[in-house]
This record gives sequence, structure tokens and C-alpha cells, in this order.
Amino acid sequence: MNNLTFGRFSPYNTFIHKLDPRNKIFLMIVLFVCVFLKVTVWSSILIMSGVLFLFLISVMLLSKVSLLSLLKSLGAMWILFLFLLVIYMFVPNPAYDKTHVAFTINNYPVYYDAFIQWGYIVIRLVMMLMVTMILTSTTKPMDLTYGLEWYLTPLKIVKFPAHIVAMTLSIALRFIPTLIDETNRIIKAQSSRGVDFNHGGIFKRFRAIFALIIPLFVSAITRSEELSDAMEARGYDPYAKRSRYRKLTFHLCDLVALLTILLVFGAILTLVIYNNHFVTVDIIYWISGVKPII
Amino acid sequence: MKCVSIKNLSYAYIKDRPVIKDLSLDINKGEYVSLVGHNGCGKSTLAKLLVGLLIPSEGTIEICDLELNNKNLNEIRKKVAIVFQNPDNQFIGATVEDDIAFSLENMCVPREKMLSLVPEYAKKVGMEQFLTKEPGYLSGGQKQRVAIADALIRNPEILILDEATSMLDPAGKQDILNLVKKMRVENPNLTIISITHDINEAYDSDRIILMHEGVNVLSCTPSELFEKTGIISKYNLDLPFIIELKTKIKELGIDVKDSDSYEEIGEKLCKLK
Repeated sequence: MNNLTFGRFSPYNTFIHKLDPRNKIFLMIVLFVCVFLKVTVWSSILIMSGVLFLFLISVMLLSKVSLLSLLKSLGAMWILFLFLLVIYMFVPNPAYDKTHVAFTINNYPVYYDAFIQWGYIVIRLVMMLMVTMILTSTTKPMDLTYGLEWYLTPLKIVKFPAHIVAMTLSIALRFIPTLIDETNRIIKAQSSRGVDFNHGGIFKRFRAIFALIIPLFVSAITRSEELSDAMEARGYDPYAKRSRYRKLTFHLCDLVALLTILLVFGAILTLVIYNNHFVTVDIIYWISGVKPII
Repeated sequence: MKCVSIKNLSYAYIKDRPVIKDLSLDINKGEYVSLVGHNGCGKSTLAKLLVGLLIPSEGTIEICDLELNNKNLNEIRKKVAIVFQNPDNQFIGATVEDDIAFSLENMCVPREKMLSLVPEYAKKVGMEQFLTKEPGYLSGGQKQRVAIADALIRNPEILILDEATSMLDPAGKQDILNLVKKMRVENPNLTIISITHDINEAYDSDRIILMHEGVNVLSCTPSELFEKTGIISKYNLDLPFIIELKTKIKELGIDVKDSDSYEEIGEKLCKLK
């Protein structure tokens, strides 16, 4: 239970940490768009991915996110990557370059293009992971909630209870560590009563999990009852007007970050629009050494 | 002056099985009252009734001359603060400062005022260095101190401690008790209702109310209660350490008075030949 390292907040005080969470959420979305903008010419793809990758690596270094934890979480994703590879190999896209066959399995052709497209999607997923990691490890979960609430506020016009959603989210976040402690305690308690969580087949382990889940649920419900009593006794009324202790402010550093990322976005957008005007490089020719038949 | 006035109060979670039966009780302003009694005698239910978390089946509760009903509920909640037993389940904010500010937010206090009030009250309970800490990094006693800060910041007339020390280690417990003593000195008008299992804790209060099966059996000062050996054995109460000590010393034939403090007993023992 202690290996939930991915994207956990690391309490440094860097430039990125100081940014306004609202700004960070917006910039994350812009970067997602950057990562998933589609260009078709290989030279453009290489330039774009290269620029973005270097940019994200430098942001990661700047915000002191450890590259090791990125590699660890990539290690956890290898099944996804393998699964994607199988899909790309055996379900050829009609747009594949069918002239270069890497090898055949029982007369079923596997194209070079499958690997290249796979590589392209993997690098994009990795970049997406990097963006998310930068966001979550430089922003306190609670600040993220405040940022999210700010974005949801306009929905109040259609009677969407943004502040209630934000309160629910922040309480859920507040109780994650408490419930993890509780889980560990129940695991120990049930193990001492002879429940085996680590051995046996899937079915046996699944049954053992029930011995964990049920007490955990019961305790969570008791907790929530006590919590709601405490909140009510302290005068919380979800529909009443409340003042705010936390205030989000947009600083100069936010402007700098915003402009930098918009610059990157602009560059990539230019690349997408003038997609075909760059020199085209036949990447498959590089890899396979087989000249394309024109 | 009466601060809490309960008349013929009854409450039942399940119909026909009342937890509190026809209870009448008055508590004066500035009094420190301990509610003692065994599990299931209705102490915590009474506390929940007093803050309006439960609605009485019968009878009335008046707090500072306001009757507890739906109309006055918000007014009364501003006057009554409660600290519950479990330190984890009443920590609502993400950090100490957020949690202390929670009731102020509910009362719509402007932000500028909160920024000065929160550190002030954190200092009162000795948590000023922990303002930005999350609950995971705090001990149980520290969390309870935060809960007390949040209760006090609303400037209540009545503070209810619902077994606030029962889940703490001895050091944390002593911490909270010292804090309560300090509060009484600083604010003599604050009425404190302490629900407790710890007879030593109750011994420090102005008045002890003994509850049994939903009725208040007895209401008297601690020293009066512990003279009534019949009641103590009937309701299976523990004796406070100091009284037990004195009885044991008396059995040895040494002359100690009931009013003697630890220091005086110590002196008498030292003078023995």
C-alpha cells in the first residue's frame, strides 16, 4: 500500500510550485493539446516530439520531479504498451505504408509502419504522463480542488453546486491517508486472525479481499457519520453563503509560465498548419534500408 | 444565571426504547460540569441533543434563554461548541489553519479578520508552529488541540467536551486537561460540560452529574460525591487517585484531612519518624 508514489506531491518551493493552480490546470490542458495535435509528415513529427520532450524534461528538472519516479511509473505501464504493440501489429490501419513489410507470421504481414506508429503513440503517452506528473507533484491536492472549483463556478448559473463538489472532493482527499492507515491496520488484524492475502489462487485471494473490504466500508461509513456531525455542529450548511480562508492569486510568475507555454503552443500550431511545407524525410527508408517503390 | 436548562427531556433512537428518560437539569453560566456514567447511559446522546444534532422526542432544551428548535438552531450553534471523541473524524480542513478557519468560513467572517484570528487561536492552544501541517503529521493530542482552537474561535458560551481525551495517550490527555484549566482562567464566563469516563478528570470540575440509564441520579460537588460510599459502590464508580491515596494512608493510622493537597500529604509523610 505504500507504493503509491506516482505523482505524489513533493514539498519543494520551486518556480513551478509557486504557480496558481488555476493557471497550472489550464496549462496542463494546453500541453495535452500540444501532445495530441496530429501531424502526418515524419519530419514534423520528429521536430514536434523532440521539442516537446526536451521542454517537458526541462520543466521536470526545474520542478524537481525525479526522473526515477517517471521511469518507475513507466515500468508499471509496460502491459499497456505491450498490449498497444500487439494491436498495432495485428490490426493494421488502412493508412499504413504497405510497401515495407518487416516480417510475416504465417503469411500475415507485419509492417514497419506498425512499429513506427506504435512508437509515436507511446512517446505521446509518456509525454502525457510527464505533464500529469508535473502537475500533481508540484500542486497540493487541495489547491487542485480550489482550482477546479474556480473552473466550475460559472456552472452555478445552471444551478450546479460547484462548492459542494469541491468540499466533497477536498474531504475525500483529506481522508485518503487516514483510510490507507486504516487499511493497513485491518490487513494486520485480519492476517493475525488467519486471513491470507498473499497466497493462493485468484479466487482464494479474491475471497480474502472481502475480509478487508467489508470492515473498511463499515469503518468508513462510521467515520462519515461522525464527520457529518462534526461539520454540522460547527455550523456548516452547504447551501448557505460562506466566506473563504484560501485565496488564489495570479502572480507575475504565472504570466511568465503562461506566455512560455503559449509560445510553445504557437510553435507547434505553426508546425501543424505548415505540415507539408517542411522537407519530408522518409523515416521508413532509414530504418528498413529498402527504397520505397515510387 | 442559568445557561442551560433542560426540562423533562426524553429521547429514543428506537421507538419505546428511550435512551434519555424525563431528564431535567440546570447548568449555570461559567460552571464546569462533568457528566459521568457507564456506557449507554445517554451521556453522548445528551451532548448531541444540546448542539441540535438530534431532535428531542419530548421535553425542551433552553440554551441562554433560547429554546432549541429549528428556528433558533443557527443562533444556538453559534453559542455552543463541541469537541468530539475521535480526533481524526472531526478534522475537516486540509491543514491546521484550514481546519481552525472552518467555522469562521461557515459564519461568513471576512478573510482579513480570519487571517489575524487563526494564528491567534492557534497560539492559544500552542499549535502556532504547525499551522501549515496536514493531519497525518500530527499526534492525536495535537489534533484535539486544533479542534479546541476551532471551538474557541467561535467565541462560544458553552463548550462541550464529548470524551475529548478518551482516545489520547496519557501525555496528550494531560495536555488537553491543562489547556481546559488555562481556558477557565482566561475566560471565567465559559461554561464547560465535560463528558468523561475518567474519574480523576471529573474530580477537577465544579459539579459532577451522575447519569444512569438515561436519568440523572445525582448532581453534587466532587467531594460530596466521593463521601457517599453507598452510591459509589452501587454505580460501580472508581475513586479518584487522590481519594484512594488518602484512604490508604488513613488506614496506616496517619492523620490526613480530606481537603489536603498532594503537597500537604507529602509534607505530612516527610515529617513521620
